[in-house]
Amino acid sequence: MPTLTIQVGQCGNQLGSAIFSSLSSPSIPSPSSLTPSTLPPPFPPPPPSQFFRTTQNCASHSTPIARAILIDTEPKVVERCLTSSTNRDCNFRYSKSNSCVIGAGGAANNWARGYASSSEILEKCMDKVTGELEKSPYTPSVHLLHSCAGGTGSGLGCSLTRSYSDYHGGKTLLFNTIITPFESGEVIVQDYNSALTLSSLIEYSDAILCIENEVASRACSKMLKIAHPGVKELNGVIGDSVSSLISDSYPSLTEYTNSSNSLQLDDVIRHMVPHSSYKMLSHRMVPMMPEGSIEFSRDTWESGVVKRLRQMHRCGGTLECDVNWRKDVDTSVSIANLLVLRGDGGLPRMDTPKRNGILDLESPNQPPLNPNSNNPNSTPLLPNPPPTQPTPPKPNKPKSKAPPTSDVWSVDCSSFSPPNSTYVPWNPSPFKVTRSHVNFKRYEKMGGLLTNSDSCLKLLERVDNAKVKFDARAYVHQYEAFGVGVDEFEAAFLNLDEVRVRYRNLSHA
Amino acid sequence: MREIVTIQVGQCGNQIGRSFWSRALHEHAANSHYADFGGGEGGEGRTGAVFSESMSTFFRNVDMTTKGEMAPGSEIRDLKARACLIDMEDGVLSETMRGPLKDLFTSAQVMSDVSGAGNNWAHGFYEYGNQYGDQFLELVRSQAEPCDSLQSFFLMHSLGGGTGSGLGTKLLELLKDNYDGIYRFATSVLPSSSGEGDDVITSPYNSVLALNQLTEHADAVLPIDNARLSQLSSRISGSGSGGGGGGGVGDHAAGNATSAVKGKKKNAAGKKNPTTGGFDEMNNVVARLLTDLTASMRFAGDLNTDLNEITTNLVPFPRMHYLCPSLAPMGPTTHHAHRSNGMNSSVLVKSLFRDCFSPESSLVSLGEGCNIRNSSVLACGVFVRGKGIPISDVNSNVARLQSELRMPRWNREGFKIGLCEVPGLDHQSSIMSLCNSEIINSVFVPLSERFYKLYRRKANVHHYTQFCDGGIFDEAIGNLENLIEEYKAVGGRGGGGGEGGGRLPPRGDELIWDVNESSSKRKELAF
Repeated sequence: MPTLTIQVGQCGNQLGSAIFSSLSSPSIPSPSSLTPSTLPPPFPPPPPSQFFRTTQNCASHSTPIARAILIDTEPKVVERCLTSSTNRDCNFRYSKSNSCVIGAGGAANNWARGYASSSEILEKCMDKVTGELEKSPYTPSVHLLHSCAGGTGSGLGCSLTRSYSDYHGGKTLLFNTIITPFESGEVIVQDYNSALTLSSLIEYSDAILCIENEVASRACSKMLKIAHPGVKELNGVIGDSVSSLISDSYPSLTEYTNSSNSLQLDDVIRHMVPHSSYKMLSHRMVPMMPEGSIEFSRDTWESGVVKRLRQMHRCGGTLECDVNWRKDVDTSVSIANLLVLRGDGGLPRMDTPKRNGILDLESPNQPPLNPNSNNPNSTPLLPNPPPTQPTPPKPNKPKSKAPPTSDVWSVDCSSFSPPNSTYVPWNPSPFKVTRSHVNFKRYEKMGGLLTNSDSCLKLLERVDNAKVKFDARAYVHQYEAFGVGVDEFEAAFLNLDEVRVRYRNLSHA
Repeated sequence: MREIVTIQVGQCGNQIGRSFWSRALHEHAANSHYADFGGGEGGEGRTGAVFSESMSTFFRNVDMTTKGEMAPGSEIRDLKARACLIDMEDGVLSETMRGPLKDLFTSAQVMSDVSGAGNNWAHGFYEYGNQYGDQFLELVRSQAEPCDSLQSFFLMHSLGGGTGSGLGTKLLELLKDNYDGIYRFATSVLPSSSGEGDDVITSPYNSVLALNQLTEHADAVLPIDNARLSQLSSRISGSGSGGGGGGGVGDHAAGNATSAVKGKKKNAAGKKNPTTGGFDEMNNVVARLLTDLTASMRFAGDLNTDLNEITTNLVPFPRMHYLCPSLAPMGPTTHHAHRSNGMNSSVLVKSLFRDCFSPESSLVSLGEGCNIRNSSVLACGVFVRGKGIPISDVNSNVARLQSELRMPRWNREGFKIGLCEVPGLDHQSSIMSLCNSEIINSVFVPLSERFYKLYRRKANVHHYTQFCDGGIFDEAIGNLENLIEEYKAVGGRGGGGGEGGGRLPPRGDELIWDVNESSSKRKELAF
């Protein structure tokens, strides 16, 4: 089932570009896991078809096209997205007809102005969405990318979320990834905009993944050792972590589901948000390291990935550098967790019936998944869903020599399972693992954790800044001009306070 | 795509306008080779420059044979400025229309009279305002109609004289009534606050009366001090020339404008810096301010800033919309280029910030001992131009400033940041800040004192009462005094020499502000 991405505003579009280039970038099997004799020809793996489609009519353009709608109220960023995706080193393209610039002259960093966009504008955007929906046989789930600081992304983003859920609500699920601003800077009225955005999304979206610019910036400087991270680097980090969580069309496996197909965005939402009062998700990723250090890392699955993620989860920190290793009690109570493990280049093991249906990438009796250099015209996309046929592992494969624990299929993740980890009592299956042997980019082993827990409280507390501003009635006149007056502000604050209390009560319950 | 219509009124406004248009042309000429990304320009090299999206903000591209408007992306035929040129004397205007920039304007864009407003605000506001109101609206309509998405009006004028201050503010009112929702920015040159070198006796009257209108009818005002300009220009030219200008900024057309007009078609890269004396530099400083202000909406960058975002972010209360500008680097071009060579970005950004927030960079004269660090700041915008300046460096400098500046409790993080990657004409990297702060009182307070000096004796008032009721004087000075108190109240208790209990801003709850108090007590909602 496909996923339609809608990028709104400057931040949403820049981030969308980063996500798609991360999704489409080839994963490089780490040299250590393969001996030279068995090294397959370097191949670009198929980009996950969930997010891309191919052009049927022109065979010469085998570049996959992102299933994305680009929306902004000013032309510069969208144009740059379109032109940069035509670069040679870019592995995907945007469809130009899917971009939509509404000449409203920007939203002036004013949520109310973006939200009050005329029905004409909304219709124009929804037309593009419907047009893209019609291109796929299934109704896709929708992934909206936007910031919550500015006016276009936050205001128009919320307005689109609402009208989408009005049109298609119930049939498909809406996943919003929002970027929360730095605690200071960029936009002065960001606290207002964030509060209004969150309050509106909590009502209309199905799941909200919040990513903090602050964290991304620290990830750049502390983990990736980029001395002066710019916006591009920030987006790169965020793009990687988002795509590592959602890209899952590779042959993979999800425990607790009997489905042999990959985990879809819909499944993620259903698993992560079992109760509509709790929609705030956060994510963690391990490892993050400078490009140059990747090949020197010799982490094992248990101590290098799972244990580190577990400790990060325990401390509620989003970055590894913030982890307090002395802590041994969970401070946070989770509603649901999803662990994504990818990599080691090993082959899927076919030893249990539950794990059948895995595609063997190197099996000769399978149709080739990837166009090699001698077959450039074939589509690089995986058929959807991948043909499923259990294939016994070849005994002569050198990889089977590897110690069993280095294999992604046998990693012990029980530390996240209910008795070992604190969950709410009312969710019967709060934890899932999804595994894939295909590397994520150049990382030999990668773990990502999507979590729905009270660690979002810190973010919700930032709403207090907006309240302080509101008490002085500063800037309110700008919002009143577009129909968001004192009452609307108070309703939004109340709404957020309720969410906050609910999450806080998780640990007191 | 997103346009700005410039309205230049009076002698000073039109002289600034001349500098501004020359600079805008140069800037677009220098950047037409950025074609390969974003701008929508196709051809590199000399095969006909393309009318880019970014040019369309300030210019129209007209095919003179068919009189047709050409959309962005087409080849440049005839560039016309989106401007209305208005003066009640025809000296400066006819000079413009004969000068090197004459191709930019058609006679239909000009509105003039012969007699002048006699340095009398009331003459400009009432007499000319009524006489020319309809003609003006027609003129604006002719400029606004071809716009795809009109963003704002830019008013350039001075407050000391009669035409710019009187007619200019009248026009602002007309725009408010007829184009609601389109932002009105005013760049207002104030007479030097000490009165030194000011040869217009009635300039305090004119200024106070004009400020009264600006407070009510503008969305944002960029105040600029004439005395300050001449100090700065002598610093830039390094010659110590300058000296107090008259009521308006001086009168030398930008000498190299011709090359700019040609340059637009040839993508001329070579460009000489104007080296003529003080007046040119004075106008140039203002022109630079205006081009920097709009850079981020015209050119691409990591954090784009539209003009309307500036008002949203920097104007917390509708009346308090005076944004004091500063520019850095301000010194001679070569000096800075030498210094910035081989600097890494964080050192460079740090030095830019330091320069920008020092009193020397302000375009507003600061009172004795008054500077940005000891006055309270409502909100501050920082707009950086230059290639390869990372957001992290800007953020760390903003964070440091935050700890140094005094800001109200409810706006502790009151910084708006813009990043534009296309550098300005004179410097590889530059920074502009707009500060909505108490320092504007170091302009307002001396001005009101000078006003009272005249008004106590009712000197010259009879010239004004020919055109209007004398009550306007009390209304205007009252309005200004309220504004002064409102700005003082931001500083409020414990700060800035404000007399406690000043009038609070509209709807003002307490605007206590305190540097070290941790964030407010969290209100918790019982379940």
